[in-house]
Amino acid sequence: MKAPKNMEDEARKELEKAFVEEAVPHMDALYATALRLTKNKGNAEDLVQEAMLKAFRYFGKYQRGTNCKAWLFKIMTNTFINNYRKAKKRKEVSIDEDIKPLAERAVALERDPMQEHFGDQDTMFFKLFGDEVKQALEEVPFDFRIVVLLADLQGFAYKEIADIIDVPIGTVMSRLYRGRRILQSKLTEYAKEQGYLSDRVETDLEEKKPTSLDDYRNRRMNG
Amino acid sequence: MKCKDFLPLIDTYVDGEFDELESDELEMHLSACPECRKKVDSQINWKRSFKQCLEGETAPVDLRASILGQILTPQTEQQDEDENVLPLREKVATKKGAIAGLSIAAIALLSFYAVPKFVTVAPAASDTEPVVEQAIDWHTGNFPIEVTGPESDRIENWFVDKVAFPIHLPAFKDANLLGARLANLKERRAAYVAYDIDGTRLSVMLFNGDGLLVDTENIKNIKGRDIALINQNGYTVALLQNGGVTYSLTSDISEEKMTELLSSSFSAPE
Repeated sequence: MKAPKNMEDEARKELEKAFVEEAVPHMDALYATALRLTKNKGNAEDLVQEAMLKAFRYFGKYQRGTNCKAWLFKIMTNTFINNYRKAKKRKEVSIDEDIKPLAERAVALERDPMQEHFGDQDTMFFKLFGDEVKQALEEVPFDFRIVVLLADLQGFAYKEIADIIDVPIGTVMSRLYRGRRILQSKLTEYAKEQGYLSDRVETDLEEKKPTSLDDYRNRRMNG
Repeated sequence: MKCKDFLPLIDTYVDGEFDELESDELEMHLSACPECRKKVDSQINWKRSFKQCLEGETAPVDLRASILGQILTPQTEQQDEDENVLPLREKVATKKGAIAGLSIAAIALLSFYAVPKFVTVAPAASDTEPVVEQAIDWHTGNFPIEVTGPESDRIENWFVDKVAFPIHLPAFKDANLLGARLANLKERRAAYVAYDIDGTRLSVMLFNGDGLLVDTENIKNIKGRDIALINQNGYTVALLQNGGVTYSLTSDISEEKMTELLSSSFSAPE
């Protein structure tokens, strides 16, 4: 192995080495999430590739030893959103409805039966429908889907998710709560269609929102 | 705390977002309320099942190779070395640094990364190695032949304006050259050539193997040439590099038979 020609080579190699050690191990996690964002393998590969190359370009600015995974997910999420915006402008690709702003969907969402819990049936759904879970998830609007993926597939904390998608923690909580219920209600529909559940499943419509952490903490403080 | 106060906090509780004091308060309610306990358990199960259902999707090997290939500096000095074949094992062994082991030189057809996680396509993961998988697909697919044998000159000439690399067909002992066609391995354009050896079909594919990753465990040195031998779904697939072109050989013969075939048909690199 020859010595690097000059300092520049040395620095570049250092950067490559750090990137391989810190960023590259998260590639599988990025890919698993990208699959559920883009809904197909080819696009998922393109997305991961674009995000990783972008991450390498900006890797000099990344502070070593901090939360590399969250940093990579932020890059990938932004890349995904930007690409879809571009696609929408060009009108070349069929537009994914779920990228519409939240406000436009709010009315329609209210009509969805919000279901609290599956009781003992919850794990059954996953056993019965591997692919259906993926399909149901892909039907969950993007803003909710990304939060569910970041929390439940990748195990990010609320604070990290808030940083990744650039929204307040309260928004993360309500989207996560709602995203999970949308997914659960979709799976309940599948189960009914397939006859695994009777049509008269109890739906608990009372709790549509999680209590915000701040509200909860204020209440504790005041009484 | 009452159930109506607890219920909206279930997600946040299960997500582990409460501090210790807060959790204590919630758990006090839980220990007294089997109804809420059940809902918490259910939510925990949901979260776990969701994860199990979606995890385990690993980035495809060629995606990994493509990304690393674009990021990492090529090892230019390797271009000075023998272009016919890369003595892969030796190279990996002599390189100590993580990055030092990268060989993504344009001519390095079987590229190896010295960082173990990339070098090794674990046996389970080798199922997803698309080149091997697709080589088997082509072998078993029985696709129509576009140019017929048995004259190898005729087939080599047919490919001249169809693929961007030279086609030199190996001469197998007692083999009947059936014919050839254009094919592809993932996005790689490939020449597919079919042989018959004593009634057994042998498929040979020639392609540009830039960035192709192979498990070091599969590498065998046969007559001074490093060859990857992979057994998958009952087929033996050999990958090797010759004259700057990557060859895959697929057949349902044993590894020993394949080795024998290889050593008699590919001369040792100079």
